[in-house]
Amino acid sequence: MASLTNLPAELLAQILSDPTLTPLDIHNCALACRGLYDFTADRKTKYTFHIDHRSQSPYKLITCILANPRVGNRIRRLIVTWHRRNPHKPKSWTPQWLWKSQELKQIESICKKYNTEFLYPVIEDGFNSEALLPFLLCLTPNLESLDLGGISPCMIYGTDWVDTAVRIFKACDRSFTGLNYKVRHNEDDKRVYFDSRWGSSYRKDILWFYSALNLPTANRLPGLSNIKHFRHGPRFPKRRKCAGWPAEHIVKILSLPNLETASFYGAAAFEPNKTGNEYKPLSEFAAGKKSSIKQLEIANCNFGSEDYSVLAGLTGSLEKLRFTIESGWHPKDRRVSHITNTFKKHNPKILSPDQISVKRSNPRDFEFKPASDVYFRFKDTDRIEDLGETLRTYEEEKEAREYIGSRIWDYCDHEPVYDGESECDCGDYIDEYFVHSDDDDLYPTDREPDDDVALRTRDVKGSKKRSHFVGFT
Amino acid sequence: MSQITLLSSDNVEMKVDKEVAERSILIKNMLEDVGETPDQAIPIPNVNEGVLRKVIEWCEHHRNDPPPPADEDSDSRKKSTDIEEWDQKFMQVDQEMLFEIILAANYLDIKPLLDVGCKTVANMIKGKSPEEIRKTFNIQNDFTPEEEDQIRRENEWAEDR
Repeated sequence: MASLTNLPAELLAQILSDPTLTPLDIHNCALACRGLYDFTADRKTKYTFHIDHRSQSPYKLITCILANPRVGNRIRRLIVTWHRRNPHKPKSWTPQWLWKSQELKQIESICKKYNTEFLYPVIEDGFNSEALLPFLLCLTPNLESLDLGGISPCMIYGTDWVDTAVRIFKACDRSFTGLNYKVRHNEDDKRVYFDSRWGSSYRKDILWFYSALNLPTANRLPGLSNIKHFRHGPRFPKRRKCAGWPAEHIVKILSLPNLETASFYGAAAFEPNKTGNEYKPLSEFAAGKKSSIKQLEIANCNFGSEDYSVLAGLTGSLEKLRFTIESGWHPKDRRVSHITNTFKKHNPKILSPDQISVKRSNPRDFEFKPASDVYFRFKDTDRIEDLGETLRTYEEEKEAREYIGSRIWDYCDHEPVYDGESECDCGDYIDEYFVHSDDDDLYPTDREPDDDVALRTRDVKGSKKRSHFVGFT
Repeated sequence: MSQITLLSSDNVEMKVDKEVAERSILIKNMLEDVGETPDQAIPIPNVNEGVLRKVIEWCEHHRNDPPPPADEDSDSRKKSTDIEEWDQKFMQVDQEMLFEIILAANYLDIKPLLDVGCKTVANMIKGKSPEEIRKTFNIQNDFTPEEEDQIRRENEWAEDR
């Protein structure tokens, strides 16, 4: 009698590879009986790596692989999504991950084995889950496809303020006691304190993944050895024209031994470690070895004129080329013909004219589309929580306005007019109740539940401007 | 229109239009190899009468459908998730018949029917707990509680795949 468990393997594989089945469905199948478990246990799979998402799923994946290395062998495709901490959304302040000591020992020995000791302190810190990506590449020898998505190197969205960084990391730090932060009033001390506590994790411009790419060929991570398909999105937010991601990594990625297709969006040939982002030609990185790449897409990258020749020189088996040139194009621009001719020259016979598309960018080209098979199970919960947070903030602010209004009414002998914006002249009351000492915590994170509508003033002694009430959420 | 005769595994002969029978790539290739319409019945040893009738019913309904793409890994075939209404009704059979149809479609090389069958089974799995899957497919739980715990731990990461 035919049943699910005695179907031939290829039919079972077809059923379980149905795109509408979620990983959870497959997991539930594996739990149904031994036969289905054996069948699903070694199946190839893809994984969506949610960097810094509050679910902390990358950390959970690593703990699973440390307990059962077979899981790592199954991963064939990795898709990366970015969820850095947003100063305006406390919900996005993903807390520190705490490892077990046994796990840390394993991580340390794996880092040593693959010459990636530089990752260990960051992973141990448990703040920047981006560092887990190169670490995962040590454990996924069968990886064939890597989609980095539109990257966000900075751990905190859109801020360079050390105050903001300290505030957020303090909120995320599970070991924070409230007693070890007494240096807030001196800007230099703040930076020293910040560097000593979180400096090893915090990187503004460089990905830990790039550090892994910089390893010598002989020490290449297992996860990079079999990569066939690679995609690198632009950097978000892009504040300056030259603030793409370092184009030198295109050269390094093209040197991966089994690469077949690659897409690069928004790179720039510049020196990221120097102020001013000086131009850095790609020729400094090209080792002369031909890439195995067959299909190449380069969109909206910022190169010097000789860089096109360097890139073309790295190819030799190209069958398809799509190139879009970023702004600055004008009718006399010869880049289009230069790029076409150079790539044709280096890929004679194979690269036919109908497979070459070189054009200037239009707004549609700037649009970077995330991978079509990205799996984001938090979409709905995130949306609901965000909505809840907006509503809560609104309610708190409303409540606070009413509260402050009523207090001012109590203590003033004249009728206050409080519209949330205007100033109150009743300085005595505010001095008495809202002036804080140097030891006050400006960034409370361990509030009591009743403290939800706590308000403080941005008080400056002697100033009359004391009615900018700040609600802490 | 020329007709051919198919012989089921339980020795029942069935006359069917050649065009309909050629929805099966196996039969189509066989007829092409012979070169002319055979006088004798074509034996289908792995498929019994009941299942063969169902398969022919499906082929008759889909006789005018365009042929499936030649590429085995065609994305369009895999990505289409919807089952046509007629096919949904067609697949409302008992489980044994459903799996027999899948096996027959595989043997006779009728890819669109195989896809519909597999999608129907996938829909039966979707959203069910392990216990519900066992119940649906009449599967015996052969794990010890410790093994079950171990597998649950192994697959904690499954939620993000």
